[in-house]
Amino acid sequence: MLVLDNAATYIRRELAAKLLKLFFEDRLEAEIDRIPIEMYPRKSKAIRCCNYKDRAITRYRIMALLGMSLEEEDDEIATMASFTKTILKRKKVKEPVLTVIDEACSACVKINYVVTDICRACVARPCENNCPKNAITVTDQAKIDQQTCVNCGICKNVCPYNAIAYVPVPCEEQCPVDAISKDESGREVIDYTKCIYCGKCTRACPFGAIMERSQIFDVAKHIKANKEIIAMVAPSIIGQFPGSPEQLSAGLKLLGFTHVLEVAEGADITAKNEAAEFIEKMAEGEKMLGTSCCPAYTEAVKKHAQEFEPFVSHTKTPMSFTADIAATKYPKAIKLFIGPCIAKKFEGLYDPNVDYVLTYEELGAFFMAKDIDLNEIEADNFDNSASPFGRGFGVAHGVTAAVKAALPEGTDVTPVMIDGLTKKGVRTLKAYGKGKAPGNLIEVMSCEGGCINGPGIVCNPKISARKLNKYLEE
Amino acid sequence: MTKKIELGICCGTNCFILGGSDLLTIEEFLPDHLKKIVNVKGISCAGYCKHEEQGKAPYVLVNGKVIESANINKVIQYINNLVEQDKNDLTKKEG
Repeated sequence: MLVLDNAATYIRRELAAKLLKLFFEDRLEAEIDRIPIEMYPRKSKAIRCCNYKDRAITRYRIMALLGMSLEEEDDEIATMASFTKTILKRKKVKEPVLTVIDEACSACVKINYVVTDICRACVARPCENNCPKNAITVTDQAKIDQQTCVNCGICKNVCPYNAIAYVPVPCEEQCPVDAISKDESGREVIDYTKCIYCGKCTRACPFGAIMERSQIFDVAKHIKANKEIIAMVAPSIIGQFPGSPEQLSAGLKLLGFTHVLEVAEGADITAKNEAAEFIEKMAEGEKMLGTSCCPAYTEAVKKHAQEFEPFVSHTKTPMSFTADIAATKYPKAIKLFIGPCIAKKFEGLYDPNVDYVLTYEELGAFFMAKDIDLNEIEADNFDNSASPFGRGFGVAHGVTAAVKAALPEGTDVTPVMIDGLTKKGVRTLKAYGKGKAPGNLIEVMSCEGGCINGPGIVCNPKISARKLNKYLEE
Repeated sequence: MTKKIELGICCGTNCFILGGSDLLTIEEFLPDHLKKIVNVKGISCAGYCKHEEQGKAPYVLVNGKVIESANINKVIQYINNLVEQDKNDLTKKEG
């Protein structure tokens, strides 16, 4: 499971808040180029090799927060002030949703097995004898030849002293579909023909070298221009922030959003339609129905588990249904989805009714920038309402519960869940596609525990789950 | 008997987003001898984050004393020191 309570996370959050604050105070263009130096002044203690490197990487981090793709940087001399002009003119957000800060990538080990000082150059030498590629030679200690080693790990398993350590590459380790790998220089690159936008790599990298391209400024400029904006908040938002859900709704309006819609209403529609589809499919003799609301999983099916494709529900996602409602009710408004999810940024690009997608983390930066204390403000209602089932969509098994509740009593349903799309989860999905599913209603969540554990959350999942459950009980 | 320790975790927006929510799970990490005497609660923003010279969010209050850049380990260590000090004072008095 990803642990977000770390310095790389907080640097990202604080930086986003700082940029937005400057923007709302009309100081962004004048002061943006000062930020890296203010963060790492000449005599401060460096995090990396020196302050100059820390500053350089801060520049790239800022570029990602401005929504730029670092892979496309063609002018290293350009000031960040000049970037702000360009991005504030941007009309449309484009792919890819992620970007790698190659300068920040520490180029982790290429070979995952390292001989440690524990090695005693024993007589038995099982590492040397068992290596299928003859990549190990022993003199004072065992040595692995980096060119011939194929990362099989046999040497580690056979060493009687546990002298060989497995050193993971965190982003590659977390990527469920092997979409991230090293280029010739040893730095990581994302293969977008494989990527499912789950965002796990962004939070796994201890150097914070992989970032989502933020849309905070696309949204901020509309707020500043007093445009009509509809904030559609995902069910998992309950419990993400301090204060009550109604205070959160009030906080969103204070930020400048005209109306606040719960995507849980769309989730109710998804559940109802998925239940109807389930009955229809079963009557046709189909083996099973897979849920459709998690975009990282549906992308994984398209790219990596085509066997499962016939079983994925054709029902639209809660975001999509809610955006339909918003488009009918507020045809001229800008429509913004706010959730815990990076894959939704990808889904949003192709939904005609969704203009922008922010994560809770990015929303949090707005609250910080505008200094809104959610605990202290007057409550205000959401502009729609939803059932507890729709509101429970963001917790593992929540979708199943909602679909089951929408089925007529006595329907023969055996729910199964793939809770967390890990490398193993993708294999399970394939196996299910080949007919090996131990049930007929398959819920899949890319994030273990559901959306409340997504890459874009701000609240510890244990705390948010507690708050959400309490709210649902009331 | 050591006296009760009041642990207030700031739940202002800033602190909450910069690690306060993780601090709220501290009860799970408290060693048994502290569980009985520490009372954990969320408190509203007291404005510490508005003054940079006081340090950085998240803030917690232990018996009224402010700890900046708080994390679970730092807070537990601080409480442990408090308890130790209390014990020492008590022994001195009795001696």
